[in-house]
Amino acid sequence: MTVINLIPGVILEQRASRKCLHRWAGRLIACGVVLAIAYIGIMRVAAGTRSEVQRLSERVEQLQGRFQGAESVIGERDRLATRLAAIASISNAPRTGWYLEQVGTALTPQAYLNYVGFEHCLVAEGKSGSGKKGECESSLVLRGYAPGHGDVGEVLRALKACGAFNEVTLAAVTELPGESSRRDVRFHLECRLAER
Amino acid sequence: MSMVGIDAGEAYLCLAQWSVRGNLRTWRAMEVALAGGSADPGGSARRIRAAAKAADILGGPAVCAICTPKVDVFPLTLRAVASESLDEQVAVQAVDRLNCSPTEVVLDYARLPVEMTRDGEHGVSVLVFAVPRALAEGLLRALDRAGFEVERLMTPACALAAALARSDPGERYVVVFPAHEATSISVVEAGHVLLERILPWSVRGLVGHMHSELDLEEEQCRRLLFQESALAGAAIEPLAAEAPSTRGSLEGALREILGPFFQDLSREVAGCVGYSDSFLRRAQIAGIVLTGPMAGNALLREFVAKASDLPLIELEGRAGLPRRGECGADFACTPAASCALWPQEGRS
Repeated sequence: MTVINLIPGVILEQRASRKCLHRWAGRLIACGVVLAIAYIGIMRVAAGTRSEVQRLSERVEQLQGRFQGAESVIGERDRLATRLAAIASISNAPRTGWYLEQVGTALTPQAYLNYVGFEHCLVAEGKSGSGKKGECESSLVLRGYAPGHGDVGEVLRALKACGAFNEVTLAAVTELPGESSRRDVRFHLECRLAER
Repeated sequence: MSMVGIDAGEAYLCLAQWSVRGNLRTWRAMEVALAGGSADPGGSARRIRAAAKAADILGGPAVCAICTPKVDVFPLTLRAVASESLDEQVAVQAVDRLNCSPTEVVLDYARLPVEMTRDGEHGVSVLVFAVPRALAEGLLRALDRAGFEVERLMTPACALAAALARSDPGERYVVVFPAHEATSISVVEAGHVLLERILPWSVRGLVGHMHSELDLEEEQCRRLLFQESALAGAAIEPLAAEAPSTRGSLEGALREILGPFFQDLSREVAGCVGYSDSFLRRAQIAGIVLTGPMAGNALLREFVAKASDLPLIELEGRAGLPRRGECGADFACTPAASCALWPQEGRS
């Protein structure tokens, strides 16, 4: 069979390039479709994530509001505790006077005090009867001078005998320098307050 | 749907396509005039697309046979030299035979199945086909734009030879195809084109000549040319209804007008028969195949038969080709149909 082909080469080249172009255009369109689908998917996921984040941030805001409320409650509690302590110290004020009266009674005529320290334990009083009383007890520290050791002993006996203190301890007695036989002494007493 | 067969000229196109329903092959065909020719591929593409749509012809791969006087076909005898390829020899020798620069034409060749020995040297015979590059490019661009991707561009003889080989393999024929813009006369055998001459006698030229000589419309002239009998059909009813003397004068006029053309054409046919007998391997010519729109013209048949003394063979309706009138009442699609039946690998 006579088989010839008179198609010019330029036409074949144009067709080949057109087919190549169509092939690439097809690929580009396919890529575009895939990208569009991916974009839509991502956007949907992003929208879901955004709404979730929004919901969580709202919850965070709510929790922050609650924390702020709790902090204000804590502050209120602290403020009330301070007020309670103040009320307690005010309520203990007459007792202090009573203790001082007992100390004054116990002193001999020549003995005198130059320091009275009252260490008040609020916890011990606030938790009265809870079994932790011994850990913190109110005490009275007395420092003063007496004409001799005998006066110090009398003061010690009188304090123990008055019933205002559970335990009276002579922490220190120091003789002051001098030439007479009756020499002044400086004493230091610690008295643990008794419960009323 | 089959591939599309196209019979093309510079300003004329015939498209044919077939489909099979059950055992019946149905043909669809259309013809279209291309006003701008190859110079206006866009306009031509629009016309082709519109005409194909009207005829229900689907676009796709196509095989095209081009028949214009600008197509040049000539034989070459080459020496069998081992150092030089056949392509190179054809390219060198064809230059001498071309009327233009080799760059202005598209060349292809087919090796002829004949043995040549000259001066004791063994030679190879080829038939070279050349089509003007601008013409081929314009036509193919127009068809491409219209959705018809031509896979093979050839001459009508190639397509008709393949069709004849399907019906009568091994026989040698002279094929005469008077087309719209040129007439192709070829000698074919077993699917091979042994010789082809494309001459400037055309249906269009004959219609124009008849129109100028007779007081008839061009359409009437076309019908006169395409009909079997000069006085048959509705084309010339007003004339046919007149007195027998008038009809006799019309027949005489047609013989006077067309006779010289047909006489020349018959001489060319006789020349081809003589070439076949002398130059080619000696073989009996089985007959003359007359195809195309003028295949039924009684006057043409008379002249051709008288010149060659060979039987006239009708190609229409053979080897799967459409019967006469099956494509359309006033045009023939046999060459286009032969292209549509061109064997393609992987296609039915």
